[in-house]
This record gives sequence, structure tokens and C-alpha cells, in this order.
Amino acid sequence: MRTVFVAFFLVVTMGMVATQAKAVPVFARKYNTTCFTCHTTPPLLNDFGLRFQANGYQLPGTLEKYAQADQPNFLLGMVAQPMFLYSETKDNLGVTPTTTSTSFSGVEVALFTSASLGSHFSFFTGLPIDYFSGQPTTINVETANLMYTDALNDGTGSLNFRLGEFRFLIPYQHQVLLANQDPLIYTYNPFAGKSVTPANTLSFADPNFGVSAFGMIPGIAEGLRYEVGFSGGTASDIDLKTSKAIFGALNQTVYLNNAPLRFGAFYYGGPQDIAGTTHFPRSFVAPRAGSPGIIDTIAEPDSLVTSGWTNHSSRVGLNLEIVDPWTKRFDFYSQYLMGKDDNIDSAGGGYTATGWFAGMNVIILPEKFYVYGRYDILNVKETDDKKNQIDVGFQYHLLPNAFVTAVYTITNETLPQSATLSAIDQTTTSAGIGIRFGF
Amino acid sequence: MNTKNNRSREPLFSKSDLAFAIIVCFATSLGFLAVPKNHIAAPAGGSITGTVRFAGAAPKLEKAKCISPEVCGKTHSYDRLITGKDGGVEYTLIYLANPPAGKANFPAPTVTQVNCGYTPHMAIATRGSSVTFVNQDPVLHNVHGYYYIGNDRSTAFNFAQPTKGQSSSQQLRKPGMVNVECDAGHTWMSSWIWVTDNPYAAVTNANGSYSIDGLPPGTYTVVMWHEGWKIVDTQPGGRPVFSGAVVEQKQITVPSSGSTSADFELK
Amino acid sequence: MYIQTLTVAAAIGLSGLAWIAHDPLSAHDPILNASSIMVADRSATGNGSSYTDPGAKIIAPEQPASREILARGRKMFLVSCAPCHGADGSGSGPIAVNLLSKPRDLTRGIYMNRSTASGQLPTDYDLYRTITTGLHNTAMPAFRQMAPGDRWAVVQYIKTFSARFNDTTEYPLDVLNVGTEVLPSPQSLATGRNLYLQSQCATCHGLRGQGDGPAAGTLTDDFGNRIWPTDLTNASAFKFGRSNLDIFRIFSTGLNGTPMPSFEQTLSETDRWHLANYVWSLQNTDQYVDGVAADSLAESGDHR
Repeated sequence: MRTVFVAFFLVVTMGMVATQAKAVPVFARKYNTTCFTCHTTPPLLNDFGLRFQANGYQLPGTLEKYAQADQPNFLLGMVAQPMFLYSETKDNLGVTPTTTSTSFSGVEVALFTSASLGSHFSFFTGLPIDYFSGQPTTINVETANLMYTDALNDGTGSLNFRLGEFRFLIPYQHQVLLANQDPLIYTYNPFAGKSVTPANTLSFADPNFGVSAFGMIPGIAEGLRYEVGFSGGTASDIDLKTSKAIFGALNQTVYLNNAPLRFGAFYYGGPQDIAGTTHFPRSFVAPRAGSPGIIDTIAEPDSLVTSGWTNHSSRVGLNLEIVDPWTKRFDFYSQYLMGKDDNIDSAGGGYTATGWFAGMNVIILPEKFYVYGRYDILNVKETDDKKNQIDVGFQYHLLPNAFVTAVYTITNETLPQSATLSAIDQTTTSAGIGIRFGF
Repeated sequence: MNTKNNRSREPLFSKSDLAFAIIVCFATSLGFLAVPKNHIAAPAGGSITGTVRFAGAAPKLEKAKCISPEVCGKTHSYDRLITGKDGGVEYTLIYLANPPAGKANFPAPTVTQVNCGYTPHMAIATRGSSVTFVNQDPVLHNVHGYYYIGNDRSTAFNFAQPTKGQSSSQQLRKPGMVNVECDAGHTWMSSWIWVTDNPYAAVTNANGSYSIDGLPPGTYTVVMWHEGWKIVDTQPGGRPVFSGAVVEQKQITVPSSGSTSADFELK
Repeated sequence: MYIQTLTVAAAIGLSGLAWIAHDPLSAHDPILNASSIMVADRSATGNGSSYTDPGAKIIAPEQPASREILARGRKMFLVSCAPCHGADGSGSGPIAVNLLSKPRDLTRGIYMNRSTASGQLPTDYDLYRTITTGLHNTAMPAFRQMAPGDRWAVVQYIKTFSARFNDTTEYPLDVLNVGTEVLPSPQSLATGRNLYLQSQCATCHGLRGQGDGPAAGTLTDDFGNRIWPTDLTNASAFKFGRSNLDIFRIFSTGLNGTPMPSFEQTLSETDRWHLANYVWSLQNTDQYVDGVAADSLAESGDHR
């Protein structure tokens, strides 16, 4: 009840300060412009925003030699999203107990800062602050990278480099409107639920540590975005010891009546070392059968020691996006991804996962009201695990930098038949509403 | 008279005198012909005259609410079709599509804002001359002039005249039609200025009559231009959108002197 | 864990360094020492721009810009400008549908942000300034960090979109005079308030300057869109700059393409300065009803 009241209070106060938009996030402040220059509705990037991102978070066509002038510039920005979430999980056989949960969750606060350090050098940092989970407040580093921009020194930003923690420029990464609900195929982790976890995951949902060359080449049919790089995964050491993956993506944009049509492909893969388990034998006590009162000490056999192995992981994706050339308000996007891991357990078993998603973002009222929907599918062949998800929602702006975001999700997972159970359809329904605001 | 000389009387005019007189007369009449026509009292060359009439009863024109009722009443009509007795349409422009050579010499027009309207409703100005706008109303009017290129209009000038008696002037450098309006809540206020290089144009008077004089003989395309009065749409904000100008053409042959008539009818 | 802490510390340290190194760009780019083209005749500093001095008459260009400049301008336009303005300059680029303040249709040759007389084209420097400073609270960013040569090339390329720039009847362009600046003072603001009422600005802008006058609902622009009078009390609504000099400039040039007229022929220069100071005070003090400003405004240069 208290959480409902807090959420309501936040909605009302944001509504009351709606007339004078004096607080603007760091990029808008820096360039004397509005949020909608780069965003359809945050965090969705529009054409200009994609170029800005591909140019190392600097205005396309510019080479920032100096820190920004003209007006006092506070380089720190903040995004906060208090959210109220209700979800219910049940299955069709009544095997797993129906669970419902209501939470005031994900008060995700993130600080971010980005600035130029002189000619060609800049940095970008995003720091989520975990505040409401009941644990001591921690600041994590989500992304932190150094960039060398416009290496060809022609002002077009067609070649940039970056080093550090960042998300690869595959399309639709965090362009999804939802309360940070990534597509199923992005969060796919073949090691989930296994007894071993590699030190590093190759993931699209989370930032990876690595180095890459990226940019947008204008003049190639109006914009070819690319990125090639090396990555050590999500928690890598700087020397990329535990996983060495290569990444390459190409994304071509053409314009039909000034409406973009994008298509592309990417590859992400490489060897992933998984440490062996060293299980020191231990002993335990048990009463001797047939001899009450006598306690034996029994030692575990040595066969629990396993040696490490290497998994070769690859992800290949194809994407297509069309904005309707008539009204330009309907943005239809889709992606197909295939993921292969050839050695999940030490016995050499591999997984093949295929997935795709298709969605649509619609501009109902410019700078004000947007609706979206997306359908995801993920299938893992070897385990016969089928998952699909449908999301619909809206985003309504109280201010350019404060908006209500709501999502309704139905996730359906078909767990395969096992020795004791027939196949189960497990469905999770959730509804969430929150306010995201940025300063 | 030569009395000293006893010879027979000489004739009053000698042959040389006569010759001299004939030469002088001839030269004078030649000079007469060489004098420019517009110095002659009666118009030489041909002229085109005519009337623009509205056929049938004049239509009822839409009215707009006035935000300055103390100056111009509660409502004001979109007075784009001004008809006099016998249906004569005032303020219609007549010009030639293929005029002969000539330099325009129209007096610099003065357009007055009075009773929340423009007077005159249509004027002709020589290109390069300045038009003067005077506000005779005790209310804010601005003088917002537009050039039209097809259906697109561009601001040619925009002056504020908040006080009675204030005036502004603008040099008109481009040929073509200039539409002058007011944005201060007087959506019906409109006038037109035809900016031209050549003198062969006229505006119909209160009877709907016009006359274009001093034309060398030839065949000309006479164009009648009226701004149009039919409302086809409403803009957001309530301003009506009028159908485009009503334009009609006639081929007229003009003799070396005398007038030819070219009448037009609007309906 | 310690890598994370180190990275956080580095991020904060770096942002601090960038903040300390913050340096007004104007020191590096002398063209932009003035916040707008028209520099008031201040006896103290006497800045003047060599590009378009007040009172200058800009004549038609003798020859078009070179092919190299136009090619460079076109390349940078497609990179930086086409997403909003469209590759054809018509203002309907890919993102334009989602903007309430639409990108300019460059094919019409109608520009608001100028230093020339009402109805006239902008000077090259007017276009350069708009690109450099952006338009506040619109989707037009400040391309200050684009190389000056690139910005000039984009200006030349933009001029090719409209035939008006080649039309000799449009020239000469009359760059307006600024006269001597009148500093805001309680007397100036009081005079400005009276002028605001006498000039009947309230017809559109309302008595309090909030854009709610009786004629406010009837206005359309040259593009056929509905347009609203600016809320003068809202700093976010001032696209072309908020100094009293910028406001003076708008009174003098009028905003082409909108119902906002020029007061150049009907108000003297001094009166326009008083009026500009009063409008400036609507955002910078709360005492707009009686026009009396805080004493601290009287002598300080704090009016930019």
C-alpha cells in the first residue's frame, strides 16, 4: 500500500512541474537541444541518435576539441526508474505452485557521464546504483569506456575506437522501451541451471569488456554502420584470458521517402575456457548399518574432481527494420539469431538455440505518447525447451525527460517431458508501471 | 512698300518667301508628328476598356469575429468580392500577359488600414518604388506582406503599426502579386499589390470599369485577375482557406486608335 | 570488485578533469566572440565582427561557391543534417515526424534567425550562427564542435536549396543597426513595460507575456502550420538567445515566416532597447507587473 502511494505521489509531482522543463539530461544540456533530437522516446534511438552513438557519443560531423562552452555544463546525468510490478506464474498441470508477487521494484538509479578529454579522446560511463534492494548501497560499473573518435580526421566519424566495458552496437540493444526487458534471445544463457558457470558470459543483454573499431560510413548508400572487435565477455580481465571472442556487425540503412530501411548481420563468437571443478575430498560421518552406536568416518571418492574444458560459442544474427514511408510513425523491426555452443558440459554435449523477435513501435502523439509491442521466441533444440513472450505497453511523457512507462507481458515456457512428468506449459503474466526520469 | 523704286509693283510674297513658308509649315507638321504621344492631350494609340461584372445576385460572404469590436464592430465580413450597382466588381486587376515595351510609371501607392480593413483593396506599383502603409485605427495592426510562388507563400515584409497615425514603407523589388494581411486578430484584413515593370495594367473602379490606354496596335492577351471569394477549407485556428485567384484571359486586337472593349464576368 | 571501484574513481576523476578544463569556445573561435551578429556599440570592449557590420549592405554573390566547397558542404549535410531536414532539405527527414517544433524547410528560403530587415534573406553569418549555437529547446543542436570550415561549407550548400539566394531582386540585404545598447535598469524596465502596453504586444502575447492574448488562437505561419505566440516568461521558449541583445534583434528584424512583425520603422532604437530589456526581465526577475527590477541589475553586466 505504501509503495502504491509512493508511486502515485511521484506521478502527481512530476505532473505538477510539467510546465517549465528546466532539468535536461547531460547530452541535451551539452548540445543545447531536446531529448527528441536523438530519441524517439528514451531509450529508443532515432536516426540521428544512432549516428550520435556510432560517432562515439558526439554529434555527427563534429570533432570535439574542447569541452562544451556557452552555458555552464554539469557533466553528470542521472536516470531513475521507480516501478511497480505485479506478476503471476502458474502452469497448466498445477504441478508448480501458482506464485504471485507484487513489488515496488527496480528503483534503478544510474549515473552517467560522458565528455571529451581533448582532440579525438572521450569517455562514457554508466554507473547503476543499487539502492532499494535492502542491501547496502552499491555502485556497479555498467559501462565505462574510453574512445578515440574520428581516427580518419575527416570530421565524419567514420572510424572510431573504444576500449573498456560497452555494449556492442547490435541493433535494438536497449532500444526496447520496456522496463529493461531484453528479448529472450539476448538473455539466453546455455549455462543457466547448470552446475558449472564459466567465469565470463558472452552476452548481448549485458556489457562486455573488449576493444572495437566502430563507426558509420556516410555516402555508402546513406549510411553503413559497422563494428568489429574483440571481447572477453561480461566479467573479463583486461588480458582476455578466460574468453576470447570476436565480434563483427554490419548494418546498412537506405531511405525510402526519407523513411529508413535497415538490414544487417552480425557474428559474435569464440572459445570460452571453463575452469574444472576441484572438489577436495571430504569426509562425513554416518552410523554403521547393523551396528548401532558405532559411527564411521567415510571419505568421498576422488572421482568428483573434473578437469576444465573449452566451449566454442557462436551467435549469428540477421536483422531487418522498416519505418513506414508514408506516415513514418510505424517502426517495424525484427531479428533472427542462432546460437551454438558446442561443449556445455565436459562430456561434449552442445546446444543449438534459435530465436527471433519481431516488434513494432508506434508514435501516436509526437513527443508525448507511444505504444509498442514485441513477440519473442526462443527454442533450444537439445533440451526441447521452447519459450515465447509477448509484450505490449505504452510510454507517456509528462515532460520530455520524465515519462510513465507501462508494460504487460506474457511469457510461456514449455518444459520438456521428463521421466516423471509430461510436458508442462509454464506461464508468467506480469504487469508493470513506472516512471522514468532523467536529469 | 518701296516708293523710291518706280518700277511696277512687286508681288506681296516672292517665290522664295512662299518656298520658305511651305518648308516651315512642313517642318512644323513633321515636328508635330515627332512629339511623344503622352504629351498630346487626347490619347493616341489604342486602348482597352471594359467592365467586370458579377452575374447574378452577389453572394453572402462569411463573417469573422472581431477582437477589436470598439473599433470595427463585433463581426467583419471577408470582403473579397466588392460589388457596386449593376453588379460591377471593384478592385479587380486587369493586365496584359504579353505587353508591349513600356516603362511603368504608377504613382507610389499608399495603403491605409482603416476600420480594420485595407484601402485600397488592390493597388498597382512600379517595381522598385516604395509602398507606404498607414494605420488610421486606434488598434494594433501589422502589415504582413506575402509573395506567392504557386500555392506557397513567403513573407515579403512584416511591420507592426500599433499606434494610430504610424506608417511604414517597403521598397518592392520583385515583380508579382503581393498579398498584405494583418495577424493581430483581424483575419479578414487583406489587400493586394501588383508590382510590375510595364504600364499596361489597371484596377476596376466602383462601377467595375477599367481602361488601359496608350497601346500600340496589336493583339494582346488581356488577363483579369480576381482574388477569389469562395471558402474551400478552414485552417487550424479558424482562418478560412479560399479557392485560388479567379483568372480569365481574352485575346484582344487593338487598332491604332480608338478603344476595344473586353468585358469579364464572374460568377 | 576493486577493478570496479577503480573504474568508478577514474570516471569521476576524468569528468572532474573535463570540468576543470572547461574553456569558453569563443576564445578559440574568434568569429563567435559576439553572442549574436549584432554587437552593441560598447565603448568598453568595442567588439565588432568583420563579417556583417551593423548598417552593412550585403550584395548578391558575384559567383557561386566553388564545387569543392559545395561537395564538402553536401557531405557534412548528409552526415549531420539530413536526419532532420531530409536529404532534399524539405524538413521532413526520418525523425521529423516525432518533433513538435518541425525542422525548417530549407527549400523555401524563409528564415527567422537573422540580422537583416523584415522579409529579407539571412546573411551567410546568420546561418553560420544558427548552426553554431543551435536553437534552444528545439531539436537543432549546437554544432559548435564542427570545424569552422565545414560549417561555412554547409552554409553554402544550404543556400543552394532555395532559388531565392540567387535572385538578384532579393539583394542588397540591409543589416540592421543596433545603436547604443541601453543597460537594464529600473527606469528602462518601467519604460519597457509602458512600451509593451502601448505597442499592444498583449494582443498576441498577453498582458503577462504568457502567450495568451486575444489574437493568439488565430495565427498561422508561412508553412500553413498553426503557430503560437511565445510565452515570454518561459526561458525554454526562447530559441534564438535570451540576452537583451538577441531580443532587441528579434524586435528589429521580425521573424520571417511568422506573424511576429518588425518594429524597426515604428519604434526608435532606444525604445526597442527598453522593450528588449523589459522582455528580458520577464525571465530574469519576477517583477514584471510594475516593471521594477531588482537593484542588483542596474549596473552589472549580468544581462547576457
